[in-house]
Amino acid sequence: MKLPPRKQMEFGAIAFVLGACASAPLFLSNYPLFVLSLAIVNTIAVLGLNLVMGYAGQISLGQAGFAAIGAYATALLVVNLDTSYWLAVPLGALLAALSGYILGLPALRLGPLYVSMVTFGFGLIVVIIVQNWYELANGPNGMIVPPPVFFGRELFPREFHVAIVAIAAVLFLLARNIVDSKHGRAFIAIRESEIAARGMGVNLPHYKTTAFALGAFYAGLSGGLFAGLAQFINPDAFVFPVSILYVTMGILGGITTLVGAAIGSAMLTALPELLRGAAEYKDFLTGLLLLLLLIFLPNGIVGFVRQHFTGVLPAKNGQSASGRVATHNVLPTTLQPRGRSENNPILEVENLSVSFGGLKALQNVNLTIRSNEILSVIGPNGAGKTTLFNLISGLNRPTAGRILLDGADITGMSAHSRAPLGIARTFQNLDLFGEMSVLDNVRVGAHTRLKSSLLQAALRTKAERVEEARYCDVAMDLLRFVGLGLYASQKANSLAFGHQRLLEIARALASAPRLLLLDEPAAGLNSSELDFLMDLIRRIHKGFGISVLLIGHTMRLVMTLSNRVVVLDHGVKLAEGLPAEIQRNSRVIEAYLGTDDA
Amino acid sequence: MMLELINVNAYYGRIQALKGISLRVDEGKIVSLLGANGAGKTTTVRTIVGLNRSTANDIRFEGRPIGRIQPHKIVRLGIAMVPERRELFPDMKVIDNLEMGAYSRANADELRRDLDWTYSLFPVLAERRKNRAGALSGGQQQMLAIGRALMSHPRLLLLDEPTLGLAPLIVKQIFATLQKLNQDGMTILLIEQNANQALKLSEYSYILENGQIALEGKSAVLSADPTVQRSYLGAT
Repeated sequence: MKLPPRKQMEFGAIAFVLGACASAPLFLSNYPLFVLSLAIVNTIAVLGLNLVMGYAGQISLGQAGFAAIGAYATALLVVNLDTSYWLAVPLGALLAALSGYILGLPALRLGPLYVSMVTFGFGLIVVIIVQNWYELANGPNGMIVPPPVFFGRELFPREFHVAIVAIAAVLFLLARNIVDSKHGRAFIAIRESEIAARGMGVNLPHYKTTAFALGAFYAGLSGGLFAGLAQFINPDAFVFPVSILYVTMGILGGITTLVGAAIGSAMLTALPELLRGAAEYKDFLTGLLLLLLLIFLPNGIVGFVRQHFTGVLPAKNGQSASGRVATHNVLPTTLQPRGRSENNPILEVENLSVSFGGLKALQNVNLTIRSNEILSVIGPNGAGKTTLFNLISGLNRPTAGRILLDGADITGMSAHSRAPLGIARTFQNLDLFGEMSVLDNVRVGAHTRLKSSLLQAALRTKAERVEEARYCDVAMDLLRFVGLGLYASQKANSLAFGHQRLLEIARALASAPRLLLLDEPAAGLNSSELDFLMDLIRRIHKGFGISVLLIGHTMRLVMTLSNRVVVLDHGVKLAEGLPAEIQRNSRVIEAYLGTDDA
Repeated sequence: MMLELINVNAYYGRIQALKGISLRVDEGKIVSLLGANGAGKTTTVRTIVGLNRSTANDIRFEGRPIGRIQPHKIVRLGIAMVPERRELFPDMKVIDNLEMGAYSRANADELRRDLDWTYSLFPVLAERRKNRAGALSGGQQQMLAIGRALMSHPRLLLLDEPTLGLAPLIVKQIFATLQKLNQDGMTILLIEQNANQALKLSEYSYILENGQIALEGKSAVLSADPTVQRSYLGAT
C-alpha cells in the first residue's frame, strides 16, 4: 500500500501515540497512569461529541448525561445482576444510544438553538434522577463498582489501562471509517446545507437521529469505562459542567476532526493536574489558557496545524490558474449513456397550485416533459419558476394538483426519496456544501447509489471499499466532465461563482438522474463560459439521454437549446411553444423580453 | 482622480488571487471590470472596500491611502458596494434594509432626502417597503441591494454583477438606472458578465485574467476590436 507522505506522517504519529499509551504502565507511576487512562476515557466521549456536533452539526450539550446512562447502567448490571463487566459496558452504551436516538427526534423539527436546549435539559434531568433516586443507585452518595474481572481474575488498574487503550483505538478506527464513508459525508452535508442534502437524497430524519445515537453510544461506552476505571461513580461526575468540558475539549482539539478529540481531551485532562502546585490559581489559569487558545486557534489545534502546514492545494497549471474552465470532451465512462426511448412523458405536472400565506405562487400550472427533451421555463423574476422546481423536487408541497413521474403519483413523496427515482437539481442561489472538498460534494450527489450500511462502513468491509472507490472514480470523472478536474481537492466555497454552478451540475449528475432540473445555470457566466455550458448541456442531453428542465434568463441559451419553452408570469402559464413562436409572442415580449434586442 | 489601485496584491491563504493590479477610476466616469470566472474581479472590489486585506497602502481614494482602513470606515469615506449575490438581510423589511445602508450616518433630514431619492429611482421599493426583503422577486432584490448602497450617500459606487439572474426586461431597467445615476454625477466601477452591455455603458474598461490586468482601454475601442472580442470576451 503506497501512501502520500502526509498520510505516512499521520500514520506514524498515530502509531507512536498508540504505542506510548499502551506501554505507559511500564514507566508511569499509579497516579499519572490514572490521569492518562482518564484522558483516554474522555477521548471516547469527545469522539462521539465530534461526530454529532462537529460532523453532523447538531449542537449537543448533554454528552455527560449519556455518559451517566452508560456508567450507571454498567454499574447496576454488574452490582445487582452480576453481569460480566465486558457485557455490561456495551449494554449500557446501547441504552445511551437509544436515549440519543429518542432525543434526536425533536431535532427533526426544531432549530439548532432549541436542539441544544433540549440536550441541555436532558443532561440536567439525568443527573437529577440519579441524585434523587436512592433506591436505584444510592443517590448523591454514589455506587462502588467492583474492579473489572477478566477470565475470573480481577484486573489491576495497569492491566485495565491496556484494555482501555485497545478499546479506544478500535473506537477511533470505527469513527474514522464512518466519517470517510457515505454516512460521514451525509453528516457533513446536513451540517453544511439541509436543503441541498435533501435534494441529494440524504434522509434527514434518519441521519440526524443516527448522529445523536452514535454520539450517545460513544458517550455511553466512555461512561461504562469510567465506572470500571474509577471503581466508584456518583452524580457529580456527570453534571452539566462536564458536558461543557467535553465541548471545550472538542473545540480545543478541533471539533470537525477526530484526532482533535484525543488532543483536546489529553490537554484538558492533564492541565488541572499540572497546575496543582498553583492550586489557588488553578481555575483562573485554566480559564485564561482556554481563552487564549480559543482566540488564537478558532479552528482548534488540528485546524491550526492543517491550515499552516498543509493548506489548500494550489491550482496545478496555467490552464486552471487562468480562471478558465478546462474543456474535457471525453464522456465519463462510468456514466453509461441510456438508450433513447420513445417520446413518452417522463414528468407530468397537473393543475399544480401552491400558496404561501396569501400569495398564490402558482395557479393551475400544467406541463409535460417528454423523455429526451430539453424544456425551458422562462418568465419574469417572481413568476414562480423556482417554486415549480421546489415542488417537483419535493422541497415544498403543493396546495393542489399532482406530479407524476412515469405515470406514478409522487406528489406526496419526500424530497430524499425522489432522488433515487431519477430527479436531480441545481439551485438558483447555489447550495453547495461549502466546507467540503469539490470532489466530496460530487460524492454526496451519488449518496443514494451507494448501498453500504453504517455497520459495513464502520467495519470497512471489502464490498464497502470497492463501492467507495468506484464512486470516487465516478465523481472524479464527472468533475473532469464539467471541467473542474483540477479543483477536486479545494474547498467548494473557494471556487468562483461560475465554477460553483458547474460543480452543482456535476453533483446533480452523480445521482445518475433521468430528469435534470437546472435553475439558471448560466447566471454568472461570461459568454465563452456560456458556450461551454451550452455544449455541456447538449452532451448531458444527447450523450446520457437525460431530460432537462431548464430555468433561464439567458435567451441565447434558452432559444438555442430548448425543444419547447414554457412561459410563466405571476404563477400562471402565459404561453407554451417552440422557441421561435415564443420569441414572436407579443404577450411574452411585453411581460418579459422587452421591446428592443433580447 | 477618484480611485487608484497601484500594484495591488491579494491572497486567499497561500493562493495569490491578485497579482499586481493597477487601475484608476476618474470622477464622474463609469469604468467596467471584465473577465472570466475566477479572474479576480470580485476579489478586486472586496479589496477596495477592505473586506480582503491588501499588503500595502497601495489603494487611494481621492488621494488618501485606504489600504489599511477598516471596511466600516471606508463606507463613511464615500465608497459603497453592491455585493455579488446581493447579500440582503432577508428577514428584515425593505425599509429596514435601506436604513441599514445609512447605518453610518446621523443626519435625519439628509436620510429622509436620500430615502425619497432611492424610492424615486425604484418606485417598487416604496410600494413594498413593509415587506420582508427575502419575499421580493429577484429583480426587486437587486434594486434593493443597489438602493441600500445608495443610502450611504456614496461618491463611488462599486457594483458586483448587478444583473445576475435577472430577466432581460429587468436587466435593461438596471442598466438604465445606472446610466441615470452616472448622469447625476455618480462615479461607478462595474463588474459585469454581460461584457457587451458593460462596454456600451462604460467609458473605460479593464479586462482581468489570472489575477492580472490583461488589457485596458476605452470601452468603445475594446468593443470594436474583433481580437479583443474573440480572446477575452468570448464573442461568437
